Amino acid sequence: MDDETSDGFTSPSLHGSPAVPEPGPAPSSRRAFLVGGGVLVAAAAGGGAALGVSATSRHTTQSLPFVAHVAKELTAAVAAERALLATADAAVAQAHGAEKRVLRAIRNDHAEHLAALTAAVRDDAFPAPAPGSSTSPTNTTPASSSALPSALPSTLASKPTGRISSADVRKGEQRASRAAAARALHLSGRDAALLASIAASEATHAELLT
Amino acid sequence: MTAVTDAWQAALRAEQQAAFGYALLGPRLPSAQQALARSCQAAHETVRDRTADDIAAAGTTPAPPAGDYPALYPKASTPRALAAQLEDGCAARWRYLYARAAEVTGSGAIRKQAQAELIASAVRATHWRKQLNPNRAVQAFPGL
Repeated sequence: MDDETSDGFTSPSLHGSPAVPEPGPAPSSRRAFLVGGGVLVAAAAGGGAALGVSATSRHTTQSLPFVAHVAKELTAAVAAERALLATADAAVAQAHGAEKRVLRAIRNDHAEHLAALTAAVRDDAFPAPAPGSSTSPTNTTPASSSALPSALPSTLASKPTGRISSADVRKGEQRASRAAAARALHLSGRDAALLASIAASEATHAELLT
Repeated sequence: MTAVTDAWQAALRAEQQAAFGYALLGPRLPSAQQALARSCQAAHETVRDRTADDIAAAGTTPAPPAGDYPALYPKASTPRALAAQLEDGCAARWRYLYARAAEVTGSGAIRKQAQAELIASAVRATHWRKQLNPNRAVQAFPGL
C-alpha cells in the first residue's frame, strides 16, 4: 500500500437486510456455446433439407429466411475475425519488445475467436441429434455436404500491407467491437452470447492499446 | 421470463457487490490510482441504481443488497487484483443475462444494456490487470 488515505471514497452502505447469498448462475462454460448449435447455417447456404433435423430440435421452428440471416451474420463474423487476425499478425511481425508481447496476446484472442466462431458455424450446420431422437442420420445431414465450405469464407483475409501501428490495431478493434455487438443483436441463443463476449473482448483490446 | 429475471437480479447483486468492494479497496490503492477507483465505484453505483429501477419497472422487486461481503475483506490487501475480480464478476453476470435474454423475443433493450455493461466491466477489468501484467490483461471471452 503506497497510501492508506481514504479520502473521497463512499463508505460501503450497510443495509439492515441479512447477507444475501450470491447464487448467481454460474457462467456458462465456453464449451456450452461451442457444443450444440443454433441454426442450420449450411442449410441456408446449400438448401433447406436439413431443416427437418429432429422433432425435438429448436431448429425445426426456424424459418428458412431466419436461418439465412443467421448464416449471413455468423459468416460475416468469421470474415471479420480473419481480417483482425491478419492485421494482428502483421502488427506482431513489425513490433518489438513489450508492444510485441501485448499484440501477440491480442492476436491469440483473435485465434480463439475464430476457432469458436468456426465451431459455432459447424455445429449449426451439423447439429447433434437430440437425445432419444429417432431421426435417421441421413436426415441430420445437410442437403449437400459441400454446403458448409461454401458457407464459410474459404480464403484467408488478405495480408495487410505497409506499416501497421498499435494505433491502427486499436481503431480496428473498436470498430470490430461495435460490429460484433450489432451482429449479436441479430442472433439468438448461444451464437448471440458468443458474439456479445467477442465484442467485449475486442473492446478490451482497444483498452489495452490505449 | 423467469430465467431472464433471475439473471437480471444476479447482475444487480454483482453491481451491489462491486460498489461495496470499491469502497473497501479504494483506500488501499496508491494515491495515483484512487481517482480511477472512485470513477469505477461511481459507475457501479449508477448501474446498480438504474438496474434496480429497471427491474422494479418490469414489475419485480429488486434484490436487496447484502448487509456485508465478508469474503471481500481478505482480498482487499491486493486491491488491484480485487478490482479486476469484481469487474470479472460483473462481466460474468451481464454476459449470463445477455445469454438468457437472447433466448426470448422482445428482449432487445435488456440485451443492449447487458452488452454495454459486459463491455464496460471487461474494459475496467483489463485496465486493472494491465497494471499487474500487461501480457495477461485480456481474455478471449470476457464473462466466461
